[in-house]
Amino acid sequence: MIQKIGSIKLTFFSLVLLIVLMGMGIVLSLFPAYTDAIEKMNQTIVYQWIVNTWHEQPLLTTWVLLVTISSAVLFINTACCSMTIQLRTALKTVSVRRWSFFIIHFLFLMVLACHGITMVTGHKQDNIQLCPEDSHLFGDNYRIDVVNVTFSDDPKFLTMKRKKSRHLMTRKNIHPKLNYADIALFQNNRRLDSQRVFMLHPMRYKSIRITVTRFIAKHQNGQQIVGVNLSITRNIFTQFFFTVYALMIITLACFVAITWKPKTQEL
Amino acid sequence: MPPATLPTLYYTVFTLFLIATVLLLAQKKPWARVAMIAGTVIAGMGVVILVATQHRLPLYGAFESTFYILLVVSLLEMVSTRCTGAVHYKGRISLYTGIAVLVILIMEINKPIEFNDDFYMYGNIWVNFFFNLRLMAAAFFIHGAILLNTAAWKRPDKMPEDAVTDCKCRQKKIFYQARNILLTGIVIYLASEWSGSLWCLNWLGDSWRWSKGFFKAAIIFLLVMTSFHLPQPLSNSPRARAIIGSCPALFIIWMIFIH
Repeated sequence: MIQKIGSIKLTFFSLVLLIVLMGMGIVLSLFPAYTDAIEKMNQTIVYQWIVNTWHEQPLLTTWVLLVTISSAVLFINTACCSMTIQLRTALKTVSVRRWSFFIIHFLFLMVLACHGITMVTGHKQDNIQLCPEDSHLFGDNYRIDVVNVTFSDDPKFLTMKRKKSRHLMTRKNIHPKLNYADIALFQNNRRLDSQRVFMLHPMRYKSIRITVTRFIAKHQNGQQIVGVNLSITRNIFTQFFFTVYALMIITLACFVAITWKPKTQEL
Repeated sequence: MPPATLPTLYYTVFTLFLIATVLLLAQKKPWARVAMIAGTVIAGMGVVILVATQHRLPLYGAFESTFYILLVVSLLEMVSTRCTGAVHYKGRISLYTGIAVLVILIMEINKPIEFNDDFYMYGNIWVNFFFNLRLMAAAFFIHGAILLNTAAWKRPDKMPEDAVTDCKCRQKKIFYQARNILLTGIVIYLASEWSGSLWCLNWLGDSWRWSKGFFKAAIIFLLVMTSFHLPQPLSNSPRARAIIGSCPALFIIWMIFIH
C-alpha cells in the first residue's frame, strides 16, 4: 500500500494536476474580480480567508482547496517514497549519490511543510495605512506607533498611478536610504522596541515583522501628509523556511555535481 | 551612447544568426561557426554596454532579456558541441540553437530596442539575483530542450541493427547531458526563486504571495520536476521525454517574452 502511495505514477499525476491548477490560477487572475480576490488572500492567513470568503467566492475557494489537496497528495507521495524506497536504498550501501538523493527529497518535504504551516498559523495583516502619530493595535495586545515619516524625494511620485510612476521611479529619482519611518512597538503599553524602518529593511522583533511596503500621500486639513503602508506578519517558521530552502538548493547542486558523469550502466 | 547603438547591435546579431542558420542548412559548418561566434561576441557586447552604462546586470525587459539569454544559450552550445558525447549531433545542436535564437529575436522585433527603466529597487542585491538568475535558468532550459530534441527525433528504426545500437547509445549520452543541463537550470532557477522570496519578504512581509507571477513561477518548477518523474511508458520513449523536457523552456519563453 505504502509503495503504491509512494509510486512515481502518483508523483507524475499530482505534478500534472498541480500544473493544471496553477494554469487555472493564471486564467482566473486575468479577470479583475478574481485579481482583487486573489490579492485579498495575501492580506490575511489563507485559512482565515477561506473561512471568511467561501460563500462570496465559491470558485476561487474550491480552487485554493484543490491546490492544497493536490500539494498534500504530493507531500504524502514524496514522504512515502523517501521513507520506503530512497532511505532503504541509501541505508543498504553508503553512497553520497544515494544519500544526497534522499536528502533533496527530505528537504523538499520540509519546504512544502513550511508552505502548508504558514497557510494556517501565524499572524498577517496587510495594507495598514498610517500617518505620523497614528497607532495600530494587533494580536496579543501589541501596538505600533508611527512616530515620524521622512520622505526626501519628490512626493508627486506618491500620487501618480502605479503604472505611470513605475517608469519614473528610477534610482535617480527615488533614494530608499533617505526615506523612512520611525516606528515603536508596544505590548500592554510597555515599549518593546523602536526602529527606523526603510523600504526593504523591515523592523524585526522576535518573530514579528513590520514592513513598509510603500509610502503614501494623504490629505489632512488641506495639507498633504506622507504616511506609510505597512504589513505586519508574525511567523516563527520564516528563518527555518529560508534555511531549509537554501540547503535544498545546495544539496541539489551537489547532487548534480556528483552525478555529472553517468555510470556505465546508465548509458 | 548614440541612440542607434542598440538597434544596430540587434540587427547585426539577427543577421549573423540568420547567416549561421542558413550556412548550417547548407552544410557549410566552418563558416556557420564563424557567424555564430561573431553573433555571440556582439550579444556579449550588448551585455557589456548594459553593465557599463546602467551599472547593473541584465534583469528585465525585452531587449536585455533577449541578448542575455541568447548569449548564454550560444555559450552553452559552444561548450556542449565540444563534449565527446555530442560529436555525432554537433551540427544538429548548432542548427537548433540557431533556430531557437532566431525565433527569440523575431519575437522581440516589434518591441522597443532599449534597456529597461532603471527601477529604484534594482540597487538591491536580491532583486538582481532574482531577475538575472531567472534569465540564466531560462537559457539552460532552452539549451536542455535543444539537446533533447536533437537526439529524440532520429529514426533508429530505419537503420541497420548495429547502427541502431550505436545510435541508441549516442542518444542516451545526449539525454544524460540534457539531464545535467536541466538539473543545473533548476538549481539556478531555485536560487533565483530563493532570492525572490527574500526580496518579497523584505518588501511585502511575506516569503511568497498568491499572484499571477507566483503561479507562473511554480509552473516552471513543476514542469521541470515532471520531466524527472516520468512513469514507465513515458520514460522509455525518447520523444515523450523530449516533448515533456521542452515544456519548461517553452513556458519560460512565454513567461519572459510574451505574457
